[in-house]
Amino acid sequence: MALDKKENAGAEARKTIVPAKDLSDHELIEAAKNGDETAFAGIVARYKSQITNYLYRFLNDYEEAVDLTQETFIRVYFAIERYHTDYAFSTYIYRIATNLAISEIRKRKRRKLISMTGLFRFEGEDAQDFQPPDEKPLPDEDLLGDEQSRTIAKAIATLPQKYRAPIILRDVEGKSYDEVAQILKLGLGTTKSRISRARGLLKEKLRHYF
Amino acid sequence: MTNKNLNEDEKIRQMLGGLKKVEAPKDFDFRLKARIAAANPKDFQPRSFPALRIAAPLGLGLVVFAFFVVAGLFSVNDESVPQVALDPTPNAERITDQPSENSLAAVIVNSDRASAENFGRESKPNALPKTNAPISDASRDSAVTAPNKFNPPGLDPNKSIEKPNDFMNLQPLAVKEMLSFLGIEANLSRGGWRVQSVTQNSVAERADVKPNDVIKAIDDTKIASETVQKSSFEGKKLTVLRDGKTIEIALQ
Repeated sequence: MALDKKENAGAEARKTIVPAKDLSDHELIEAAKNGDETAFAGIVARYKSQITNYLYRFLNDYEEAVDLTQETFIRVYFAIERYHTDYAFSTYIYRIATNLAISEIRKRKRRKLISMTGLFRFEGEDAQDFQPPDEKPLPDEDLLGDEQSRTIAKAIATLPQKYRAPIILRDVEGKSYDEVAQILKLGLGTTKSRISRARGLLKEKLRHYF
Repeated sequence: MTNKNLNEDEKIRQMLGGLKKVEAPKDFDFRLKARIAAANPKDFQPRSFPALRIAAPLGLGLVVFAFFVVAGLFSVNDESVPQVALDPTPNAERITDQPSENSLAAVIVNSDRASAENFGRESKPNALPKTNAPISDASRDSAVTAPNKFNPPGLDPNKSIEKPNDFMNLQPLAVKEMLSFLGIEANLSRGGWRVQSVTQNSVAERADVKPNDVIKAIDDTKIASETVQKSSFEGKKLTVLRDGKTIEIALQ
């Protein structure tokens, strides 16, 4: 098991047991590098809901969001030796999650394109070879809350990709402009411009709430 | 930015910020551990030279493009190559046992025949015979009348050949028979044809040919083998080695 390989190396790290919640991200990462699985579990516990929420708002698909959140932590786990503390860990993990979400959206577009080719198939042909387009309704009512929340979620999901990530990071996740710029590898001005443009688009989509 | 816009932006921000936070499922950690255990670490290693994924096909495309460009620059100009076959008639019609006077085959046959007849006369090699017959459209005139001249070094193509008629009539003659015709019985030994005996009342006896003479030449044609190349046998003169001296004996 991949986690077992670090048990020996992590034995020394566990000699001084400190609650994970009291350690900074970088301290947890250093401990995880030394094989402390508890430290890595602390990182997961700290970020799993944040990333899940971020990806859910990005993709508008809860199961897909959970799946990609796990994929994000798997990548962090196997790349933890290469992680360096030049910037915040939250920036690092949000960047991974964003890239995965963008890849997923591209996959959806390809699937949708393939499914459109099914329109030209002859009648009687088996159409089960193709993935149907992802037109899932929004998940549980408990998650969505009221009608307004559902409408807002749909409005976010229909934003162009380059506007969707900045507005979610800024207004849903509460990141600063600088953090958003670092996560998306954009200039500060570009980031502010895109967020402003995203708000403008949302105002048009949600005008009956004003 | 107006106050209205600011208020609307703030309202948007509040609306988005007020969305209910989604939590990870309870079995998140368990599923994550299972996936980590099942994952292959090599799949998550950074690819070496990721730029190669783009550069390699791009470079290959450039090489192919450059090949076609270079091939186009140095291609052979078709107009510089003489067209040999312009006759649209099928080959079966052109290849006949008796070529017509105007055909390319007839020109070549006539050329060879004229060369044989004119051999030995003052003529220039490689010069094709002049003919009034027009060359057919089976070939370009340049393809026939402008051959490349390849002469071995030291050979003067303009030099005439002496006694061409004799050369043309050369034929192998048996030396033993020629000597027997003169009345000489001789054997070919290391030094030449050594006389064994001379027939009485023969030409050789009258010329005083003696046994043990070594016949070196007949009519100035050296004989050192079983046969000699001569156009004709006259039997006018013998060159004989006798007692270490070479003497010439006239035959009558």
